Formats: sequence, C-alpha cells, structure tokens
Amino acid sequence: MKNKESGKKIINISYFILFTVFIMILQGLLYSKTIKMNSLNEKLYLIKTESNKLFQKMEVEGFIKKKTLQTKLFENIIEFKEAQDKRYPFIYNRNLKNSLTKQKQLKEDSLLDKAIYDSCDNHHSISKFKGRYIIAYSNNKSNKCYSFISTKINQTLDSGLGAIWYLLIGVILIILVSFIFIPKNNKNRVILSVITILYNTFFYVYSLIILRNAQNKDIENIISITKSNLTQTFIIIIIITLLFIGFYVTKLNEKLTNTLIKYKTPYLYILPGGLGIALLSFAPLFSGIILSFFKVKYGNYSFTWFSNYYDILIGGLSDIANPEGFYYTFFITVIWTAVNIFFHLLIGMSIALVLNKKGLKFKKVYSIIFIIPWAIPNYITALIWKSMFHKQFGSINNFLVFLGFERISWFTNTFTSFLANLFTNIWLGFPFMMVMTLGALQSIPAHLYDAAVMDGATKWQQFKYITLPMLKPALLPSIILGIIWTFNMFNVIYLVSGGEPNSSTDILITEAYRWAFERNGRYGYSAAYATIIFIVLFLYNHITGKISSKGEAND
Amino acid sequence: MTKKHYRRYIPFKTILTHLTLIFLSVITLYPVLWVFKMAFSPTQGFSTSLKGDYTLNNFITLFTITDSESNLLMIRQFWNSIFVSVISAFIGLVLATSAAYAFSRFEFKGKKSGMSAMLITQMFPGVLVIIPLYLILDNIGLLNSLWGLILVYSTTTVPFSIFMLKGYFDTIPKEIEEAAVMDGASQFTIFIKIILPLSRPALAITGLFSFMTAWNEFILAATFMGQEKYYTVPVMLQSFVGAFNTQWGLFAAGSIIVSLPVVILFLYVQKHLVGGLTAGGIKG
Repeated sequence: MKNKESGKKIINISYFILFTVFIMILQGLLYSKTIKMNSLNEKLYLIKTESNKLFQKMEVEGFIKKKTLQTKLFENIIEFKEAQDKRYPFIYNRNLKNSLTKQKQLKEDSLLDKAIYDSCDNHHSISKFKGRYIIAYSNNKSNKCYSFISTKINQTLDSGLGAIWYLLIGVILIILVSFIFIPKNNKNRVILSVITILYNTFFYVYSLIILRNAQNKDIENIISITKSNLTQTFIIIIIITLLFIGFYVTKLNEKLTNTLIKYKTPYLYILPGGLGIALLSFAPLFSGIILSFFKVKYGNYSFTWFSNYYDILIGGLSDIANPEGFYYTFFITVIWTAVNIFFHLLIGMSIALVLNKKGLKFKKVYSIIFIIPWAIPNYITALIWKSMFHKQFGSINNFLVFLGFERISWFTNTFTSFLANLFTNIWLGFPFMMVMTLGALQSIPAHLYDAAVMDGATKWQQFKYITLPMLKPALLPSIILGIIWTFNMFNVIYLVSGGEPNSSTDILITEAYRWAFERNGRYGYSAAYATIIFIVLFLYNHITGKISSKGEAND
Repeated sequence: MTKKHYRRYIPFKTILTHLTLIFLSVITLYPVLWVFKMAFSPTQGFSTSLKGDYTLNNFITLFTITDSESNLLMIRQFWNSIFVSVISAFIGLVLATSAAYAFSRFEFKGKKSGMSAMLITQMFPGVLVIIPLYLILDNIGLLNSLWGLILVYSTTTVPFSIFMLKGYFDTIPKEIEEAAVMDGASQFTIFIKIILPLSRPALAITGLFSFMTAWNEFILAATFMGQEKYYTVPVMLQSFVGAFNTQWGLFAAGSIIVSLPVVILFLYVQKHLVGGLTAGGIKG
C-alpha cells in the first residue's frame, strides 16, 4: 500500500519534470530568437547593408538622386558643400512649434548639425548621435558631402520587453500544471514555482543587459554581439536544465524545501540584506575569480586557463628585481605591514600606558587629541602628508633645512618614498592601538598590582609580568584586524607616493588596481592579482582564527 | 581635598609626563595646523612660516568654481556626497537591522556559516572587487550615476552594521518579547513596535557609521565617476592636487569643510564603535 502510493508520486513528478524542462527549452529558444530578431538589430543590419550599397553606388556614379534614397530608414538626407568655416550652417529640424521645448530642441539640433558636419570629415563614415546613425559620404571631386540621417532608434528596449510574453506564458503554464498534477500538500509545488519565476526573471534581466549593451556599441559590434549572445543563451539554458534535473535526481529539493519551510521567519528577515551582500559582494568576488582566467587586451576577452597566474607567479612577472613583479610587491607589502604594526603597537601602547596613570590631569583632552588622526578621513590624511613631503615647500623639508640638512626629493628614491608612506600610516594608525590598549588596561584588576607591590616588584617587573600578559589576549584581535587594514591600505600608498618611483613602493592592492585602470585595462591580470590577494587573506584569516580560538581555550 | 596643597608639590615626574604628552600632541596636531595654514593662506602654494597674511579667499573660490555650463560645481558635489551618503546609509541600515534581528533571536540552519560569510566580506576591501563591479555597473548603465554608487555603498557596511546591531539586540532581555507574545503580538509586531524603539541609540550610531564610511569613500567613486558633475567631494579634492593641478589652498579649504563634521561625529561615536570592531572583526 505504502509502496504503491510513493511509486505513483514519483511517476507523476518525473513526468512533470520532463514537461517543465521541455517548456523551459522552448522558452529559451523562443526568447533567444526574439532577442536576435528584435527591431533594433534588424534596423541596424539594414542600415549597415544599405550604407554599404550606397557607398558602392556613389563610388561608381559619383552622385545620386536624393529621392531615390529616401527610405523609411533614413529620415533625412542632407547634401551640403564642405564649408570653409566651422559654424555648422544649417539647422536640422526647422519646424519648431512648441516654444517651451524650443530652446532645448535648438540646442540638440545644433549639436546634431555639428555631428553631421563632423561626419563629413572622413571620406565615408558611420557615426552615432543620440540614437541616430549618420552615414556620410563625401565626394572629393564635387566637394560635396551627403549625410544620411537615420530615424531615431530608441524603441530598442521596448522591442526587447516584448519578449516578456514568452516568459510570462511559460511561468503561468508551469505553475498551472504543477497545481493540477502535484498533490496539494507536496512541497514541490512551491519550490517549482519559485524556480520557474527565478529562471525567467534571470532571462529577463539578462536580455535587458544585452540590449543595453547593444545600444552603446557601434553597428559593427552589434551583429557580433547578437551572434555570441545566441550561443551564450543556449549554453545557459543547457546549464540551467542540467542543474534542474540534477536537483531532482539527488533529491536535494526536498531537503531544501524542508529547511526553507522550517526556518521561514529568520530567512525572510535575512533575505534583503543577504541578497544585497550576495549580489554586490560575493557575485563580484566570484566573477572576479572567473575573470582571472581570461586575458583581456584592448577590450577583447579570451579564455586562457591559468596563463595569468602563470605569468604572475612563475612567468615574466615573477622576477623579484622587477618592481612590477609579484614577489617584489609581495615582499614590500609584508615589510610594510610588519613595520607599520610594530610602530602602531609601540606608540599606541606607550601613550596608552602613560595616559592610564592614576590622577593624570587633562587626560580627556590628551585622548581626544590623540584620536584625531583616526577621525580624519584617511584620503585627506594621505593628501596632507603628500603636501608635507613636497620637495620645495613641504614642511618636512623645511624642518630638515632648519636642522641644517639638504632638502630631500622624497618620491624619487624607493627608500625615502617608502619612508614617506610609512610616516603617514604610522601617524594614521597609532590611535587605534592606543584606544584598544586603553580599553584593555582598564580591564586589568587593580588587586594584581597591589599584590605585586606588596611583594616588592619594580615598575618594570609589574609591566613585564602583569600588564603585558594581561594585554596580550585582549589586544590580539586588534592586532589581527590592524594587520588586515594595513595590508590593504590602498589610500595611503595610492595617494602619498603613488607607487613612485616606477611603482616600486606599490603594495599588492595598488598594483592590482594599476593593472586594471592604469595599464591598458589588463583586467585579467588584475583579477588574478586580486584572487591571489583574496587567497592570502583567506589563509591568514583561517590561521588567525585558529590562533585566537586557541587563545580563548587556554584562558 | 585641597587643590592648593597638591599644587605646591608637583612632582618632577608629572611635569616630565606632561611635557612628553604635549610634545607628542604637537606632533599629532602638526598636520592639522598645516592644513589650516594652507587653507587660510592667500597663495595656492605653501608658505614657510606661520606668519603671513590670512584670507578666506580659498573658501570663497572653492564655492564659486563653475563648470563649462556655469553650474556651481562644488555645491553640486557636496550635494552628491550628502545624497549618496544619506541614502546609502539608510538603505544599509534597513537591510542590516532585519538581518541582525534574525541572527540575534532565531536559531536556524546556516546561521554560523552566514556569520562567517559576513566576516569574509568584512576582510576584503572594495578594491578587490572593483573590476567586476565596474563591469556590472557598466552593463546595467549605472556607471557615472549616483545611484550606482548608492547601490555599491549601501551594502559595503551591512556586515559591520549587522555585527554591531546583533551585539545590541543580544542585550535586550527576551522577557519583554515573551510578555508581548503572551499578549498575542506577532513576531513582526514585536520587531517593529518593541525591538526597534528600544534600540534607537544603536541604530543611530550604526547609521552614523555607515554615513561616515560612504562620506569618506574615495577610490570607488574615483573609478566609477567619469564626469565632474557626478564627482563626490573626495574625488574633487583629490583632483585639486592631481598630476596636472596643484591647488593646495583649495584642497586644504575643502578638506577642512569635509572633515570637520565627520571628525566631530567620529569623536562622538568612537567609544561605541570600538566594541563592535573587535567583536565583529574577529569573533563573530
């Protein structure tokens, strides 16, 4: 009896899965076709072929009758002599009725005039202006230029939106059928509906992105974009379908639904924040990792497995003497972090110990003064120090002159440049350690010191045997945190030395930034760098997590 | 007791301590004085001594800079900064509050891994995900748009805010909620009507922190904003002292105006932040 029932259910659901998969594939195919055939691409394709024909015709005949060219594609064709002065002598749209929009329209039209005029600088060219395509042909012999101005193509998004019907019908079908075939209290009903909706939303957003992309590109690229888009869509459909089937085969769905229903309330509370973090922190992180397998050159992406990692870790960029190389930068980063943390601790702790003295006057005033470096936005701090290190006028060189030394050109030498960064960051970072130490000092019970005094311990012994051991566990989290902050201190390096000279004072994170934004957009390299930094920090976090939990266990 | 009695015998050690502290304070405050000097000096360069003329010219010039369409640039950028910071702080706070409540009050599957996931996002700075974010914003057309910045900023402080607020929610006794449940209140009513009003100070501090983070952010804004009219103040200040431009006077004047409110805010909320930093940063 029991067996029979469950057997029946499985048959029902597997039929249903087949049906859903079928509908999904159908949807995807229809949808990708719609994207391809939407009017934007048709129009642009026509404009392209048409203009090619025009150019050919003109090459042969030299001129052309205006009326024969006026198709529905081209709103207007302007023929003008190449003027000597650059005053853009015609106004494109002369019929202006509404006086309110007049001024704005005039401005836009004069800009269009300029675009039309400029397009004639080349022998023949295709250019874009606010949704219009301007195809220009200039004839050297007759000193004439023809400009074909296409109708405004701004309904692209709408035509993309039209495809939503395929999606909606699919969603309705699947949900309807699931409600007919799946028994009421089966949880598959809910999860299937959710999956279908998610799947379709994904496609919808995806298509919007593609259309948006297409709008910003030149005609040449759009056709290739749609072509690659078709294959992309197809691959995505296959992956999603496979996932979908795998989901049911492994019965993961039942576990998932059970947990989802059991912990519905907390999950709902977390959903908005979790979604935000997932989309804007984790999704970029993972897409960054994927990007690190690509080589990017002049905007062209090609998948090259681990070649970026190879270049960085073993190949051309691994040379330790090369200031742009990985190991050099890593070495600088480690030294930078170590020296900084040492001074932060030394200065921060000393000041805290002095301020912690009983009966010290103006304690509050002092502690406010010492917190100020932490309170000032650190990009401002960095720029202030940069000005103080100015060779001719900076106050530090002035002080050196006052002491009888030469002026130093701080940023032309690796060592002094590093020192400049270091001074800035020490000034910036010691207040954090001071505040943390002050907090920790107050938690040390006074009776320990009383007992020590009774035993005749000196101040130094008190410090060594009471203060320091008691501070250690309390300060460990702050040190771990401080190391991460310093390791990633982008602003100071980027704004004070700017990596000068020759990016020899760059740390890993600024180097990664430079690969992306200052060296021809090598996004792949940069992403690989970022991934390596991620791994380093992740390992660091893992190790320190163990250390600090061990420390707690010992207490 | 009597102050006079003390004053007669100030020990040499105390004087030495104060002298050291004053010396250190001068070093600490020197860069600040240097900025004030630059801001009030009549030239765009630096002057060598503290003597000399003092004018308000830099401040006046700063607020009358115009772009090619004769809009007041700096005022617009201040508005950009305020707009972006306030809205993203608000969104971030809303997102964080409900999540923190769940982490504080419920037991559920994935609670631990959720917390450690938050920790991971805390550890990795924005620069690491800057390229993917750049490409994403480019794709959805939010590059060069304040809403793009808001989108990015509003989630960056969420993990930290969750840790702060969870810590606070944990201190609210559960008995209050139990009493409300007896009276027939739903979970959501409890959250809105009891928990939120009780945690007003924590919400204010967390919100201020998110605001300050957005207000002080430099590199994401510098990367995503290509046109001057969309710049936030940090980007503009940096452009004053960029490679082709050295208007130190304007930079100094601007940085005083930008820093003053956040420095005061920071001094005010600093004590509360410290607890959250270590608790959120490490233990989780």
